Amino acid sequence: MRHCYSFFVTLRQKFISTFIIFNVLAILIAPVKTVKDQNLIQKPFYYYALWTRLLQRWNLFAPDPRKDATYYRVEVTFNDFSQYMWRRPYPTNWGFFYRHLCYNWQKYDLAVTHMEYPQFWDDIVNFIAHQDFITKPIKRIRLSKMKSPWPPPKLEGYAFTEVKDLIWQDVTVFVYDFENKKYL
Amino acid sequence: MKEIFNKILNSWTRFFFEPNSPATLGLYRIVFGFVIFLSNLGHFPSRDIFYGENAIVRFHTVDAIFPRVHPWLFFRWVPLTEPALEYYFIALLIITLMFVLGIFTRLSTVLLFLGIISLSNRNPYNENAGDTLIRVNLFFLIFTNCGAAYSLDRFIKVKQGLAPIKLEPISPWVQRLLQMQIAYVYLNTVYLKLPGITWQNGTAMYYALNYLELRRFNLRFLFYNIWLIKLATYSVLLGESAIGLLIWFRYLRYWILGFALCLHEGINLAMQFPVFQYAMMAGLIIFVYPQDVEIFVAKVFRKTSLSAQPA
Repeated sequence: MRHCYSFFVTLRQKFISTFIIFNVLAILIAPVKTVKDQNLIQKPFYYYALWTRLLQRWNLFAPDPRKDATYYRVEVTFNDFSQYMWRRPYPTNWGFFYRHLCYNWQKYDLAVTHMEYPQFWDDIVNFIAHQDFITKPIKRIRLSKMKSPWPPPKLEGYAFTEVKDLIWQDVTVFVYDFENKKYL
Repeated sequence: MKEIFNKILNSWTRFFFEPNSPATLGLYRIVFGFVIFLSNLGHFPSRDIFYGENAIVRFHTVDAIFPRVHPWLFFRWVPLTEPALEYYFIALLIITLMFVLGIFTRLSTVLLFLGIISLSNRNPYNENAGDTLIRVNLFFLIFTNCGAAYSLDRFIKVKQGLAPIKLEPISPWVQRLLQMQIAYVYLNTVYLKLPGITWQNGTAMYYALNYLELRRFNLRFLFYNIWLIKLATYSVLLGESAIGLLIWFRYLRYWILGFALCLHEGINLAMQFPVFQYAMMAGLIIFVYPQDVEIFVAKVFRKTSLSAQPA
């Protein structure tokens, strides 16, 4: 009886050990390259890590932090040529929910600078079109990226440059024409 | 050769399977659950912005990430419209509370993981390291009974005489996996930072502190000139490597945990990363020895019961 018990304990330990090794390998191997370049050994780990969402890369500020200040803004032009400027909320108010609302937007901004990728543009246009400030028919929507490089740290004295001293550049990401339903 | 193999095997068995008190896991479940509750509560008011029908990323846009199989197989279970979306979040908050209190702990851990992974798969672009850590650690917690200590499940069992008052040891393999996961976070980030030019020349902290979207309290005066910035940059690299490597040594562990706690609180004050910093700070608990957790909890309870007594 005792022998039987220890057999099952060992079997259970073997099974768990295999599970541990498999998961550790999935975490280490799966994110190495994109799936297109992965070989036959990596693929099952990748799909397992995608399914369980164990896929992970701890790459904030890596390999280098971003060297420019950026933010996005949306310029909505209505049919009567009046305009509305929309920006996602920024963390100036320290209330719990407002801070988390900003935090969620910040995650969206940081993850892959989505707003610049064409596959997200339809969603952005649709999102803006459903906001409360849209009270009149829209003529067009322009998404722009405001960008300014941070000067390198000063070698003498106080090293930082203040935001007010930055020179901003307005770069158009897309313009969507609502009348013709196409990007200009 | 056989001797070396046996030694490795014995060490492996001792490390992963030698029964240990579940006190650490119990305390971790409570603190970690509270972090998840905060995170879910923070999502609640902006649910239609990120998860609704007309969200900033719509459901079908996410299809590109997943293999072309039925969405249900990839846990894409979040409803798109109100009031179902609101009910989903309310249910998720209730399950999180059950997890914290240790009510049907196994079931609530599984449900909480499914709820969280469904949110992640609905909009993976509204995520950062904090969400990843929550998801991964919850996945591992499914495989253990983290309600074996400091839970209502256990309290009821003890009351009914079905469990002894003293905590029963359990196999610690999930706790070890969680420890390895936390150490991996530090080591992986150092590995990915090392090729960076700014990490090599010591200016990385200057650019990191300049992120407008991450700014919280202005602590830049602490890194006043270029030398202090370089010192901070190299300290981060050195500190993160030390946490990942030296935390495994018993006589250094609590020093390293103290340092890691200060590091995360420092980042929490200087930058907007509420959930990630809390999740990492909670993750440090997993390294505390169960005997110490038991002593700590016993002291807290003794103090509480003393203060509850009339003078």
